Amino acid sequence: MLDARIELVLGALDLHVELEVDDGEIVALVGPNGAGKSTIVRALAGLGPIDGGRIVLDGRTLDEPAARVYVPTEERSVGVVFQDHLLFPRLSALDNVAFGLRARGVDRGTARRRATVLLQRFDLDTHRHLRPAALSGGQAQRVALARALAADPRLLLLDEPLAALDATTRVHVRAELRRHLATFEGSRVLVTHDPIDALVLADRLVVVEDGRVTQAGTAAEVAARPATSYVADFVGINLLRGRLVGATTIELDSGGRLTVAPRSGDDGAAGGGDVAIAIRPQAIALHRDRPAGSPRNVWKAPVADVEPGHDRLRVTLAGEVPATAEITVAAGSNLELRPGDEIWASVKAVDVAVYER
Amino acid sequence: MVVIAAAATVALSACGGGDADTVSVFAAASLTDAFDDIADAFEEEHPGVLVDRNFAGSSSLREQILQGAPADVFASANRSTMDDLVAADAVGSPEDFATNRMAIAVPAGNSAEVRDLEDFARSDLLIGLCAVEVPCGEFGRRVLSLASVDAAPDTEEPDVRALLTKIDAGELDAGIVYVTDVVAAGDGIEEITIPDLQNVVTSYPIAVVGAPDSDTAAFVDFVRGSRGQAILRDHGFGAP
Amino acid sequence: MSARRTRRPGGNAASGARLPVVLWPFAAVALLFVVVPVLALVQRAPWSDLTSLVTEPIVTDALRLSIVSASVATLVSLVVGVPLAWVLARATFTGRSFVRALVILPMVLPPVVGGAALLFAFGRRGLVGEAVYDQTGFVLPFSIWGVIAANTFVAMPFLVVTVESGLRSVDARYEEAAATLGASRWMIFRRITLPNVAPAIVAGAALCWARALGEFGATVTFAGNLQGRTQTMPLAVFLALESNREAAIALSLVLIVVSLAVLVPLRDRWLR
Repeated sequence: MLDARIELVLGALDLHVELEVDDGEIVALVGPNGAGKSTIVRALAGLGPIDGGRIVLDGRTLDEPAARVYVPTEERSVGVVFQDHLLFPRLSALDNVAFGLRARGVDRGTARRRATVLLQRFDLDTHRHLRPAALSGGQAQRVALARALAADPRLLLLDEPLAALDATTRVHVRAELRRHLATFEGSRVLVTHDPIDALVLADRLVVVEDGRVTQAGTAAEVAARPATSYVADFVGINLLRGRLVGATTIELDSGGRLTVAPRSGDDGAAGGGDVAIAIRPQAIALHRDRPAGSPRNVWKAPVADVEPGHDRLRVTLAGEVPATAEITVAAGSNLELRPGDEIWASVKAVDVAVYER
Repeated sequence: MVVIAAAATVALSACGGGDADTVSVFAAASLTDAFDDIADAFEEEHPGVLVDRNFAGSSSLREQILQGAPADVFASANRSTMDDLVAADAVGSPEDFATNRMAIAVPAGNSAEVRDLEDFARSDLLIGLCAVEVPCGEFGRRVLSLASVDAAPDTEEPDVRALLTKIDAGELDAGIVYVTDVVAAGDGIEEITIPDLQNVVTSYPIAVVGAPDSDTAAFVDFVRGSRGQAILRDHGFGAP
Repeated sequence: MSARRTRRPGGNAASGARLPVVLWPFAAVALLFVVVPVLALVQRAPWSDLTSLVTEPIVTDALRLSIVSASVATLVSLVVGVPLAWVLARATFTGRSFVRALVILPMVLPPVVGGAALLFAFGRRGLVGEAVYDQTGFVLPFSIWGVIAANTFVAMPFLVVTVESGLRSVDARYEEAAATLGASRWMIFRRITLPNVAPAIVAGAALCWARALGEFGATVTFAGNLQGRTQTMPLAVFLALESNREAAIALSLVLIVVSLAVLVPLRDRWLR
């Protein structure tokens, strides 16, 4: 269990944040760029000093400037998965994973054996002798996670673990990450600026803006009453549940069907599984008449609500695909939308992101 | 031969062409202080005439003159260097204008209690000589052999300056240098005289490079005249 | 990032790149400026007497002394210079830029002045040397240790500067990653930092060795000149210039050949 109060000033950033993470809990630290997310991670790992506050992990004080307590990074039980993985380029995948064990005094043979077991768990045993440069983005990500977990940390920090991956890889690596994170018992903090990552992977969101926590709670709690416009945008994403009934077809729990893009990659949701799908409100287009063009998903939906945003309209759709669409004010006035209207909605297959549940 | 002819031409044109009011003097490094004073005195006596001074090792100067450097007067620290230029027809007939002799140089205070050349055989001392390739090294060895001393030097310095630096710093207990070097060295160095019987006297010849003009001849005369000789004596040089 | 690369990063990608044509003539000028004087030296070399000249004891003594002292100086520079480079690159302390300027001072100082400074510091009447001499009777000048000291003084900055810039260009976050895995500072230095800067260390050591091999001014001023004891190749060359120019050229060629024989394979092996 992590209990941290972090106060520090770093350049223009004035950070003042409290963070509690229970054992087994995954907290997503979200916020705009420059809000101080990575600084918090560095402070938790002991890589950057704090000016005030206190960091306590499992009852052990790691950092408390007022009491002159500072446990150096290498003596904290904190694992970190870095944004670009930072796998040691001259070591094989196996030796990368064994590194932390060796550092803690485990002899070479034992360390390698344990690393091999771990790599098997991450489906990487065939790649264990490859150097990081020869691994794909997703494989490197798994090695980084295995490396961080090998030394059995009490706190796992993931700093934008998916940001270095391209969109396609990201989808199935995210699903894998979710599966592997579930096997870890300690506290987990995930830094991300991607709503999908946060909603799919985390139990709870902590929103940091400009050095302060602006909102915290479960995704549902935060979505119900977003405290700031950043949060509103962040949680405005449509999250639906369903079941994969073909290679590219999903039957939603609410009754509708959606077609998704065929997925590359060896993992992710195979046929027949329960899945979650995410659609950005901006990706949903609205039409008075049935559209002719390319979108694979077209459905007729009753308008439940129309709400003006900053420069856009948020249109809540009911029916078999309950979702919110975000359209420009100009498009909205052309459509003359009113609650109760029936309207055509469409979304491209590639804009429907799918995750295993 | 072609090079030498060209060099002679350059030298000629240098003193003939509009530079009549400048005398360019190439002098051995050991003459630096003395010839600076002499040049100043000469300029004082001959208003409107400037003396350009170029000091370096005698053999370097010989090479420069052979390569066509614009010298009017060459003053060498030994006869053999001058003889090379005579043989190459680069200079007129040389005349001796000074002598130098060797001396033992010890650091001020002489803490090693060096008394004479015999001490150069003491193994407990740090002894320096000039390298045999340069004149002061050649003469230093000749002095030691005249004294029948079998010296084991700890270093053979490539030039007098380097040797004096180390004696002055107290890093060497004794070395053999020119008398004039000890005079020039200042307070950090003491001289122990080497008796005439064991000493080597070197002659310094001077000659006009290329065809002489009146200023050039006047400078040579000045060096050999009473005022020039008095200045040389002040700097430790002997009479020719 | 998604493509599976089997090629090493930073490998041959650059060498296949097309160079702007405009660079070629400038590169040629730079190369010629170095090569022509060497060729001139070769052209003046006394080829017929070369073998007898270079097997004379004065040459073999000087060559041995040069190689030994330059190599030991490089070793000393590695042992103390790499840590210094690390401190300059990674530690933060007040006056660091001043210290950095001090480190490169031997590069700007005329070597003869450097030699005199060494004499005033480590000679038997020197700032430090006097106490050592009084206690132990050990004298640094006029011995191979003096040559090594002079070589180290002049050549070490080349290593320090190269390694420091190498350390600055490697990603320090790998060291942080190692710390999060529980590695001690010493293990991080040994397992992460050193391998990452290995190319810079090799380049710096090669520069340092080459500079030490050619060292003249500081060596002669501090250590003196005595065949078989302190006379290195550059000193032998300098003195040969006084008496026998052909021998001097022959010696220089030997120096060039020896340094190329060491540096060329080193560069090929380590500095892709």
